[in-house]
Amino acid sequence: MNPERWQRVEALLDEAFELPRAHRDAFLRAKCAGDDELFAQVSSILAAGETQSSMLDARAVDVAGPMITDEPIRPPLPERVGPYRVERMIGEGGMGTVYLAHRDDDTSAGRVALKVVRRGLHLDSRIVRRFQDERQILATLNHPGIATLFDGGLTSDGVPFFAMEYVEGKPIDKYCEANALGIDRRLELFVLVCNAIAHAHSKQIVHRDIKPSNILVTESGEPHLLDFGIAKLLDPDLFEGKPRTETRLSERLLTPEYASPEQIRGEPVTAATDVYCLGVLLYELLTGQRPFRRAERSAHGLERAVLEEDPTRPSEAVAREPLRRRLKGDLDTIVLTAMSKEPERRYASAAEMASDVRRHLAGESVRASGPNAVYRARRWVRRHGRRVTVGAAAVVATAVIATVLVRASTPRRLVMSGATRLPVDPELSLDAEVSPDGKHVAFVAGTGNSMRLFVKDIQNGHVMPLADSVPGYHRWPRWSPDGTHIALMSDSRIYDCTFDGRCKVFLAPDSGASFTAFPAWSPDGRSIAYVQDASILIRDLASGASRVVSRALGTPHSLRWSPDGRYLALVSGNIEFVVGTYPWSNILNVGNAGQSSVWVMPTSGADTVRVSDAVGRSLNMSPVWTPDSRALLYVSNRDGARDVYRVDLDNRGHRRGDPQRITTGLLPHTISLSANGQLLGFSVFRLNANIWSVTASPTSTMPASEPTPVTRGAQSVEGLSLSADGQTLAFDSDRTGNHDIYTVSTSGGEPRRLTTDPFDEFMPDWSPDGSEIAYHAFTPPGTRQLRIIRSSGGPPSIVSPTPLNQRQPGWSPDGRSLVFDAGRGPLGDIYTTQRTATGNWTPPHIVAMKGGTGRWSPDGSYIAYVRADGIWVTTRAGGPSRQVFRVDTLDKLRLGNAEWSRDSKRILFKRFDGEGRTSFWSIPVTGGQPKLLVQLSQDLRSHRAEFTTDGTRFFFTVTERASELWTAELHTMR
Amino acid sequence: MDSQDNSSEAGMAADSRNVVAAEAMFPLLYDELRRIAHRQLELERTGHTLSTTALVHEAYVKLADQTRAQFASRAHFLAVAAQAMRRILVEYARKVRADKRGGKWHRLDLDQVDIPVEDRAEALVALDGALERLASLNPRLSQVVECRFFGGMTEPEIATALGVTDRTIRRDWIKAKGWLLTDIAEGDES
Repeated sequence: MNPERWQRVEALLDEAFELPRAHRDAFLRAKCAGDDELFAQVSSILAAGETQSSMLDARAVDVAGPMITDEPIRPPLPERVGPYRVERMIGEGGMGTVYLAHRDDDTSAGRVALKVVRRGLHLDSRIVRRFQDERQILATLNHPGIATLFDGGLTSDGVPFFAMEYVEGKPIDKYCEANALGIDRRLELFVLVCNAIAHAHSKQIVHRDIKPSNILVTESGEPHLLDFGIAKLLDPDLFEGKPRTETRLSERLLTPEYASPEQIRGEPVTAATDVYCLGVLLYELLTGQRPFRRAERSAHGLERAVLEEDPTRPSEAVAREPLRRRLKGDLDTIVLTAMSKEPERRYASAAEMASDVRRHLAGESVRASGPNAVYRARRWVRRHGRRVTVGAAAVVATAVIATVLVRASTPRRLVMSGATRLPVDPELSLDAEVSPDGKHVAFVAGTGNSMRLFVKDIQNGHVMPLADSVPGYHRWPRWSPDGTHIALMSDSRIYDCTFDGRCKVFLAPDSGASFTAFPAWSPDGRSIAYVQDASILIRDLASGASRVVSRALGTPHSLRWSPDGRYLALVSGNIEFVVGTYPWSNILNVGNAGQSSVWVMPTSGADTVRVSDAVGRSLNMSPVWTPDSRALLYVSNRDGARDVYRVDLDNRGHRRGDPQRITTGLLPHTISLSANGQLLGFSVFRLNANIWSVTASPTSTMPASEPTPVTRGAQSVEGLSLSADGQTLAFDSDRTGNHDIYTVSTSGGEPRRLTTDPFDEFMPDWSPDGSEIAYHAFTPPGTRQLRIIRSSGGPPSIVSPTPLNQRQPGWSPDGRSLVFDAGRGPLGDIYTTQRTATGNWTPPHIVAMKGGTGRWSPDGSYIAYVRADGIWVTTRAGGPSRQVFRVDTLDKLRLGNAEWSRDSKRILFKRFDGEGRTSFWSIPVTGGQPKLLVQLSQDLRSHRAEFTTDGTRFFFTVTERASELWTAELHTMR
Repeated sequence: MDSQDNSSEAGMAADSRNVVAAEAMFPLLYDELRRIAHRQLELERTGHTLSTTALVHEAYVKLADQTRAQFASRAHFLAVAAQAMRRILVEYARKVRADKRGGKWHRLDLDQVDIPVEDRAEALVALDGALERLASLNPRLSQVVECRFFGGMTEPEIATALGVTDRTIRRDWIKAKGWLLTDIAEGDES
């Protein structure tokens, strides 16, 4: 039918519609007089249009439904994505499609999983941002149990993609089934999954979608966590506890069987959400069933069950009697604790859950006692350090800290003067808490593994221990407003001590909760605010009743009640800096300066606002109120070093103006203020890193001589390299504030600075002839670049024709080539480049994927490099890589670099665990058992993995902590 | 297919703010619906019926969440979804037909009740072609069929999406259905 004809037909139809049915036929006949064909067309369309059609009046899905039976139709496969050739599709997520692909320049070793934003979606900036978020999250994570990010970019059409580790394996449930794993093996596997989740949590990342299909187990039995597509950063913005629509919707679409109650309710997710999902996962791994699954249940019914029903105990969900017996008791308890309806009753973290499972595997009793127990038995076996004694006749030494005034334009300036150091003996003294009347300072002191409460009389310098009867690790003393009591945090409880030394339990965790902490007295002394797990509660001391003020995200800490009683100041983020890692029995992590924010919350719990800077990299903590409740002093490193800042608040507790820095270079840890606001108490805390050396003994794992320091002075040291003649060390350090390359004689003496430009330089490596040092410089806008400087000094030269973000160069034994890694993720790919006769460098040649810190064997035939999962070796030409040493993921081992023995037959490496124990090992390059060379005592702690060696002497960094207690007077000037 | 896309876009461009959103959404919706439809099969085999409304609703919730896209209206979204559904179902039909290639060319009777799969496939592919021809005569009629038949939309929803009255939609439907059935019948005979 041509358009002209149709126009006539349609016009007639429209006219006919205006008429009653009975008249239409006559009307059309009249209109079409002489054109029988037109009449036939119009009337047949009208007739057909008004007749029921079994097809068109049905729905297309009913017609087509039966066709949707074969494998689903697929969109065409893209041939190439960036530098990758696509092999096949392996998955689809909400935002992207995942392909198996490989690099053009590589073979099977180069297989990657490629995630590409879906066609069309790259036009949507929100999708792209979310996709980039996932990529960023993966880049943040570096764990053998989490697929590693390699690379990312845009396709030729501008569609974002990223490449990550391709994991070939089975979903964890299928894996267990296929291999008929016993309960112990399943638990071991589960612990590995927990470790990966714990790693994500340590980076403030919640996975939110833990289920068997997202955990692939490789042939060798290693689980890999996939799909961080809906993972999210625990954004302090969520502190306010406002669920976002976005969150709620996405939660509702999760498999309800794995969704936590808070996800179904659309409430904010926390690390506890992942703990719940881990509980469901463990349930399934142990029983082969999902906890709330009933054949007849609808999705809605399932959601209700998750919210309301207690899951059947694992032991009661299985039929076989031996299995029932195996599950009954500990395993029931572990699963049900993790699956508590209320997040605060679950394990506080994946790590805690893992350790309970490990304890069960080791035949020890578990910590959890189930969600319904009256008390959770929380008695930890602590490593008791030596009892701390404090010099009773300590003399008050006085030192004056330079007072610095900043921003003279602000109307009221806070000036500090008369800073006084309060000398105490122990290794560490923290939590200086000035009494309301300004006459005493309460503080904790000890080795770091054991801290005890002391009170010092500022006038006469007398120090007395106060809470001898309180077991555990004392922290966070808080004076009652009348100065007669001290609330004290110890292990997972809050104690109340009076000045005569009598103490009693004040606030114990509710059943199912892990801990109570961070007490803050109300100004009238009648109530106390405190933290229980992730919630903030206020207890009325007269009635003994607690009310929950906020179920905040993350772990709030460092509470302070405003003098006018209206607000609580608190901190979210980086609790490790204040008290270490929970359970707070060791503050090794106390130097970790991650980000945190200061918030002000009305005691009603509503409308919590951040008063420190917007989320960035800075640390903001230890808020204290000025007496008028209109300003907070707090510790921040927003300008670089840690100092005390002041921020003014309006009547609603919102921030007015920018924070004002009131000290310079103070390095405070926590601060406190007397009731009149005139005496500031603070502890200063520093981390020092120095290079030490130790000589291996040929016969024993004890050092041949005592370890000795090579450098002295506060600094941070990352990379180390020993010259070929063994006489000089090259290292990087921030001794001048900027990170530069230095050399120092192995026998000690003053280090010599080689680089002088404004960039930060890292990871030096001596050329074999000792004339040059290669390193990488961190150059704006944030990429790393290989450079070479003569060991006698002078301007550096740039190793130019190399890919982005080049790091960690290592010389070949002939001095003509460099091995380095490059790439955007935490691990780059390993490349080599050669110096030509004209002094230029050849285009880089890739020799291995995803590794770091390549080191050439002295005979020139191999390159050793390090991955998160262990030490690998490849040939100079880039043949297939071979794993020499595998990291046991249960072991908290961190690898920095792998060095070669002189004969090229063995690889030397350093291991250090979370406890700070350091040892040096050797392993044959052909593989086999590693051999312990030197075991260092636990005193020599380090935060860095790097080392250098000539085969007998080992050089490494040792981290030392120092702290002091101070008071200073504050004056307000107009 | 291009002409159909363009005509649909033209119809939806009534609200110019959404032109980009609609373009961006189509591939996504297409993928999402395809995925959901395939998954729903499992339910269908156990006696549930595949429902376009449920499919589209699930896609809607998911996409609104994933993209936080703003749609001028639910109806607008549904219209785009209908377009995606059409493409998906027709692609399935083409696939079924391709698998049967070389087989006998059946005469079609759209009103026959228990038509075998391959005949359904033929019918759908034929309908798709007819819809394209219809779109060249009156794009809105083609859209009405798309929305109602492929998208499972109600008359008021279609009216809102296309910016006309319910009554117009009812008449459009009769015109479109009549035209399609006669067109397909003619095509068969020729």
